[in-house]
Amino acid sequence: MSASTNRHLRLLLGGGAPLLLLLLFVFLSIFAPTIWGDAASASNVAEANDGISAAHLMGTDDLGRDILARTLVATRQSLVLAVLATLVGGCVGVAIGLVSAMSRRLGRAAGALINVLLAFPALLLAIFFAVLFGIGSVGSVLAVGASFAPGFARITQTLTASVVAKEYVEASRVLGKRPLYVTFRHVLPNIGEPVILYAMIHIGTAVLALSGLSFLGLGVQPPVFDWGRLLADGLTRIYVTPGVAVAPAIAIVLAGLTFNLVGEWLSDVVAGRDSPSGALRRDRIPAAAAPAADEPEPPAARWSTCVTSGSSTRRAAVASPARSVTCPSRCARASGSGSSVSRGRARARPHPPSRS
Amino acid sequence: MTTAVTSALTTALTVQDLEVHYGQVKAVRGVSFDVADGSVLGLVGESGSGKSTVARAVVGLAHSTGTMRMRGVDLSGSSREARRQRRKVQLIFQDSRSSLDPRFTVEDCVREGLDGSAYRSRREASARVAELLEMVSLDPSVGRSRPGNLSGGQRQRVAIARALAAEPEVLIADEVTASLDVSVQAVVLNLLRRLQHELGLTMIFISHNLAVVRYMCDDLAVMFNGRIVELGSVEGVIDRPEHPYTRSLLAAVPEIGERRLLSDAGTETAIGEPAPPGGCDYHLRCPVGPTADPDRSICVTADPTAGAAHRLHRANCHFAPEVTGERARVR
Amino acid sequence: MSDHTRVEPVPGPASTKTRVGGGQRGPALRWTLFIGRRLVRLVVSLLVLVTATFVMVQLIPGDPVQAALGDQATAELVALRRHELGLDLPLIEQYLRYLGGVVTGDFGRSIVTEAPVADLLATRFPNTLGLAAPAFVLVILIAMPVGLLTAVRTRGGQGRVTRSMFVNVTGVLNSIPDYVLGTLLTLVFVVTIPAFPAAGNEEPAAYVLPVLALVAAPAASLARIVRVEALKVLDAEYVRAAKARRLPTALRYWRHVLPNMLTASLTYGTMILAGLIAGTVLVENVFGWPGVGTVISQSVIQKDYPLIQGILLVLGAVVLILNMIVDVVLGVLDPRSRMGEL
Ligand SMILES: Nc1ncnc2c1ncn2[C@@H]1O[C@H](COP(=O)(O)OP(=O)(O)O)[C@@H](O)[C@H]1O
Ligand SMILES: [Mg+2]
Repeated sequence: MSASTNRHLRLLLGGGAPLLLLLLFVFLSIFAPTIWGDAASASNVAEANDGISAAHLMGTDDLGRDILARTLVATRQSLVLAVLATLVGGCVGVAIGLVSAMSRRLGRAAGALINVLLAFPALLLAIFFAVLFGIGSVGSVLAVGASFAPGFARITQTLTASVVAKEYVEASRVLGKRPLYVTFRHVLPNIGEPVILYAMIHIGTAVLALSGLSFLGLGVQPPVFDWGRLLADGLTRIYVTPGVAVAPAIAIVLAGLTFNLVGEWLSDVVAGRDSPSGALRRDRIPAAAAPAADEPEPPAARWSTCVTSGSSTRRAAVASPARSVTCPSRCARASGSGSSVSRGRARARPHPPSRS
Repeated sequence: MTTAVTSALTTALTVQDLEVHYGQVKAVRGVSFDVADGSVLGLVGESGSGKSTVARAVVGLAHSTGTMRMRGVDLSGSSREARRQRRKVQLIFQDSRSSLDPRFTVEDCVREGLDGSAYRSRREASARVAELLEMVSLDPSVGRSRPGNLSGGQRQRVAIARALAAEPEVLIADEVTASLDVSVQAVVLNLLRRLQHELGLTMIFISHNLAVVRYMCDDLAVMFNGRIVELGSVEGVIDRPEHPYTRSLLAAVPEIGERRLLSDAGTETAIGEPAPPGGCDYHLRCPVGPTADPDRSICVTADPTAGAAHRLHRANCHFAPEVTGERARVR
Repeated sequence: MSDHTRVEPVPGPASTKTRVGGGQRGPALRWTLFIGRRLVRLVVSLLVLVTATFVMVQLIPGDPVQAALGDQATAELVALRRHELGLDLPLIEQYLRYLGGVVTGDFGRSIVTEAPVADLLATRFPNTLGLAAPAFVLVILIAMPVGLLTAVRTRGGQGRVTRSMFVNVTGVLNSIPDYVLGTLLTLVFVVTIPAFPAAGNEEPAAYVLPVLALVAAPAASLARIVRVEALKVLDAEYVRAAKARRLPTALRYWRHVLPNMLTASLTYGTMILAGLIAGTVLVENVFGWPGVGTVISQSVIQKDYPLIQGILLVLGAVVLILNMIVDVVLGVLDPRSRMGEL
């Protein structure tokens, strides 16, 4: 008993530093515009294009605006857009993924589409959709959201397959319930938690992806600015006033790190909760094998799914929703660039029927 | 006691030539049986013999061919009538843990079984749920708890209440006590027996416990390798088994105390060997078959299925006696 | 009613299960089927790619030609260009022309510069590959030994310090996006200490920083995966070796650890490659690299659709083809797991 309490304590404390950073970011995105908004927009031609100085710790831009203030103020823009993009991607992806709960044939078609889309790096998808939706805040949110959708669709489909194989869903069918009822009453509530976790983890990826698009000039357009924009501006002046790229670079890295750590911590908490040794709320999620706290799971290998074909896989269960949540995020992080997120290609592998 | 086979009672459920294939595995092969109104048909056989698959096919969970009729109405198909009729056949699963949604309350679970259009208000439906919970000897106050907080026996009773909520005429119980503690098994079995009597339910009772089957059932079908190899009244089959497989099942009973190796996991692996072409499915394992008695070469070359209808207990064995004269009428 | 009356004799070894048709296919047939399926999947994916880039232009609100030429362009000029580009033809015919063009390597002409897109791709794409390919090799060359070494030092739960250092360092490296790392590297090694050229790809030294920027994150995450995979084998092996015959250590790693690791790394390798190819788009913009990445953002801003289509097609096709190759290689290395997917 006390051992497991310790474990929980450690788990909760392990989230301390990242959670503190997260709080800082939330604080900044709420209050930074009011506190530093004036400094960020006050142009002063006399001080334009300054490097690092006592008056302007991180330098000024071409209109003499303080870059540190602008970086702090840009927190809101960067985070809000990231949350929106994640929401867009989540809604579209979950909707596509849920199709497999309603019709097996349509689900298979959706699965094939997801497979093709997942093969492409997210940045390429994002550029593709940026062309479609246009350049700017709205366009980049939709583009990044759309590039996230296949990942959300895949995890939804994987989780859905595990729920649909459950006998309570079969019982529901025997009672004559329609697919729509099953989807919304049984499937959605049972996959909600891991999908939300997956979404939380993806906010960080979205920050990096949106910054990347802005960095390419395809994201927010002046006078709106975010970290990616500030970094790109800093890069163009890097030989003249080297320091000006530092502040946005630090912001991006810190945000990426924070969300990664919070994501990892959340996954551990969920995994720890589901482990037999201790359960905070054990009854909520189907049992998931708890990965050791700091061991990454090999993403593609683990992120397997069982939604391919027909009867033989229908009853197969996905080993661990919690783990399948953790993994894609890890592939996302690992793929070489914040925005060039390439996700794990889920390998559809028929599980042997395990029946009694 | 009258049985389905001997009586001329109306049949509640007729299954004919049922086939279920999973890819290359033929899980059920040409299964036919009738269940008389208000009677209980037992289904026994080793793990993997296709019992659950028959049950799943009857309620429409497994893709099957063949005909299934309930009071003359075809259960397959997607017509309104078929859908409505299918609700009258309910299945109780072996594992009560996975057959109840962990996010539902017990009341939600049972309410799911109710015909939504039949209740005007939520209160009315709740009252019916409470009634059903009482019917399965549960305190209606458990309605607010979640399945995860109940014991296995309680959960199984919730599952039974949910099935009863649909007001079924045929209830299929698939090894409902297999996942329960021995002490709880008897309680659930008695409950089922009582409900069957009180509600006049027709039942298919799947088990691998012959004593339980004898207690619960009127008729008994023995399955082996996707086929029914023997079918008759429960006394007839248990007291005068005609198929060597049934005899080995019965013979195994007293021995089991000494070698309890019968976990499903152990048996499952041995299944799936290539079938001997032609001949009787059972001939390689048959204690009186060609491996023991070289004279019985017919078992290797000819499938006994064709003549089964003419043998006692429809036994799927070349050496079971044919039905003759006087006994034909009894059968 | 209790346990001792249970009847489920263990089926004997001869227990039968009927199967329809032949259970085992010949290995040659299996391989043909396997590779055939992969080829079909590749072709379908490529077709989806081509169709998507075609549909993309159709879906853009407004007239792409007008958008590209600007509001000042006269109606005649727009009509002329539309005709030149074949945009006045029926949709099906446009599609078939587009498809035919792509197949024959004709990607049309840039709306802005009027230069053939194919020419531009031919000069620029090799530079992009020239960045992604060495980066990929380096990722493997760094991650495999580092991951393996760490695994050896942390097997059986020992080496806590090494482990936590490894986990933290790789975790941080993992979180730095390549374009930010590129910018920081420029700041330090070009601006502050002028050790490397600023832009372009003329000298070999110019490759160092961009490749470094690309390599860091994927190498870190691959190293993590290699470590975990290697640990699985090592920890099993560790216990066994304590009891039984002692193979020389090096040989043991070679024989047991490497095959397992290779499969894991390759599976992951597809993703790394795809990520690297996308990553170059960003990193090229940091280092002024004359690849396709520096063109694509410009072409999106200028609405130069044929050029965008060409770049997306080539990048997408490369990713798909690499996927297919890795899939087949994996099939060869690890037949059981791959062939099952038939
Ligand atoms: N969903 C399925 N996919 C593939 N094979 C199955 C499936 N369900 C059952 N089977 C196979 O069908 C056979 C009969 O299984 P089952 O009906 O569960 O047997 P029982 O209930 O008598 O133990 C077994 O060989 C089993 O492996
Ligand atoms: Mg069963």
